[in-house]
Amino acid sequence: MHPTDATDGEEELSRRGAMLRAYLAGDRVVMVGPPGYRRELADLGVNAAVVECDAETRQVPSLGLPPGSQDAVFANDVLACIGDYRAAIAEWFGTLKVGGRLVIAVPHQFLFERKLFPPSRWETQHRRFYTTSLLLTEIEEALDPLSYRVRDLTEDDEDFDYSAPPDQSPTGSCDIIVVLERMARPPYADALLDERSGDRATGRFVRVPGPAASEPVVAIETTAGPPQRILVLKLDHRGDFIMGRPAMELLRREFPSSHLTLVCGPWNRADAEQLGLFNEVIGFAFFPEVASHVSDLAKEEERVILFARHMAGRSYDLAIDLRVDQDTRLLLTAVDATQRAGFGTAERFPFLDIALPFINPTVSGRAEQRLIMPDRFTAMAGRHEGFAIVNPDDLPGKTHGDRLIYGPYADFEAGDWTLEIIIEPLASDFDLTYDVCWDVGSNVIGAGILPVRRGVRPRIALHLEEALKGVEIRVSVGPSNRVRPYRFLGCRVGKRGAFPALHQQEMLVLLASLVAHRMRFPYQTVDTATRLPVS
Amino acid sequence: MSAALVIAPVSNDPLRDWPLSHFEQLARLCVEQLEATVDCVGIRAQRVAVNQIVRRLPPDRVRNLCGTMPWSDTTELIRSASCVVANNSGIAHLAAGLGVPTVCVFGASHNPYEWMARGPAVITLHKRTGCAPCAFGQLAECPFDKRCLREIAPETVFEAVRRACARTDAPVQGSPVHV
Repeated sequence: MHPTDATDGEEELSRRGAMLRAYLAGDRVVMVGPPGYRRELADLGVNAAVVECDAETRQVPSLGLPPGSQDAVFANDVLACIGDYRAAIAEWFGTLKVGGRLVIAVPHQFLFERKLFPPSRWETQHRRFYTTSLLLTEIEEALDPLSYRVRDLTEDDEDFDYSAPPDQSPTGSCDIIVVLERMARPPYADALLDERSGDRATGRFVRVPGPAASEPVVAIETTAGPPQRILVLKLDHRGDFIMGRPAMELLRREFPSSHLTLVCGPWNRADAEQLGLFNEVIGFAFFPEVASHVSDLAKEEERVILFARHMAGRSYDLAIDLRVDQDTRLLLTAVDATQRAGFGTAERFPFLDIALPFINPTVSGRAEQRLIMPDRFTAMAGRHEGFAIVNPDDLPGKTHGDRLIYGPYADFEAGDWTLEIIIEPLASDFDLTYDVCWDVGSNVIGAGILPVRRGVRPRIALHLEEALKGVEIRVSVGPSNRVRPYRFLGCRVGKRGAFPALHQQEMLVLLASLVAHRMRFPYQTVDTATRLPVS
Repeated sequence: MSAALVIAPVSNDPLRDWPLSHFEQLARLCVEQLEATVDCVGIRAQRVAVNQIVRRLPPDRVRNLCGTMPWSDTTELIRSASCVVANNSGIAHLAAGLGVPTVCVFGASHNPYEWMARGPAVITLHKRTGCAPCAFGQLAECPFDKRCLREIAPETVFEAVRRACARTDAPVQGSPVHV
């Protein structure tokens, strides 16, 4: 396969011979390959130990050489026979000293094999065919890119007979030969290979200690199938019921095999039955039939209890309140349902699993959310550590109202805002106070107790009638006069958005569509450590 | 139990990428404990980085296919997978939409309930760090060494893969699902 002119002394060498003599220099050289190549190296004057592979299977024994001990390793016509090429290349390379060379010769696919796919015409042990690109691909997979350089690479076709057809045994040289030199890894190698390290934050980097129980890894998992039993509440008046019809039709279309129960005002019951969308229709008078009439109905809370009694013994996979106004929403709590859906925010109706938050559409402006980092704040106690403000010690002698942290003098648009002060205890829990103000503290727009507890981050609601500039958030010592160690990680602020008015019918269809889409692939959230559901 | 896994370890945003060393450990666990084959997919420019995942793993079980196939072939590979593991990226949405069991490792830059992949057999893993969601746009902005992803252990993801592969209530793999 590798005809080589026998060389003596100054006799002209083949290309292959010249490469081998040049790169297999040194006292410690080993050749890995099939039997029969000792002579070639001896003729070249290369003093190499030889590790012969099995003549039939070409299986290569481990070299058994200490790492970093060899001047050169020559892997001669064996790589194509080895399954785990990554491990083989890594082992050969690993035995080299810094500055040592790994020379790999493999048969060229279009010189030796002359075939598009294995098996080989000539060597049944060849598992893979090689082009230069494929050989380098294997090397790149196998070796740390900062540990070597390619010093030579050739497609050796010296004396190759291109006139011979592929089904004739090739004559002349027909190998790819690559020479790698082992390099000392530069000091920055690990950092460079730490993925995307060039994009890592630098200078003010802070490593937050390991996982805390308050920061679980959760799995949000698709759960089984669509709901089998669905309850729909449409308790308002005749016009409302008519406007709700497209949403009801949508629900039937999306859940064709589910059992649908409708609860409506008794005045709409006959029409509801005629629609043919529901398996069951129940009348319940939450409102008076004519809204302007003085109601002789029980108070709202009592009606919720009445409804609970009415629905006792029934259970549903899903209950939906198809009313935009929020006055009927509590009825969902009176129903045994796995999931509850309706208009409103999770803040106001925490029992809603599917909530469409149409809140206060008259407050204009876009929604916002941003994190204000601790470097925007001044620390009157503790110190800035990277992006955090850390107070590592108890602070005796402090009294209620003493300032600890203040900033960020940020601008806020008009609207409804929520503010989270991210501060966590480093030892035991305790309480501080906060206030939010502008105009250098002369106008306080929010104040209260700030619990510093693991896993607790109260959301502070702020309603701003007008835009404010230079808003200051201040954290101070609480009424107990106690300050324990803490870490402050900044504030997250969010502003609710709004939108142009939508028709009631459109809003109901949006809710029904949302429910249908969510329930197509319902999911639950579980703590991966305990497998218990979390909200 | 043997499985054909596809992993897409590099997204178009480093802020969203689970560490390569974690992917390597995950691939090793899948090979050793599930007798799995693992195909790493991505574009050509991601190939060198993905070599860090495959380097110490057997090539007959773990392949680096980055840059070797067009999108259409990648889709077919995913369609036939036992499970796909991805970051918060297009491959996760593709796999989930195809109904293939999908495990998505989801960082803190986005709220998973707003952006996670949806489908009949999806597990989204998310660490609820105090800084989540940060809404940062680049890794350089994160002062916490991307701990939201680093601290999701390979063993946790492996357990999710095992669960995903074992699911029997998902639709037939590869059947088109419109999400």
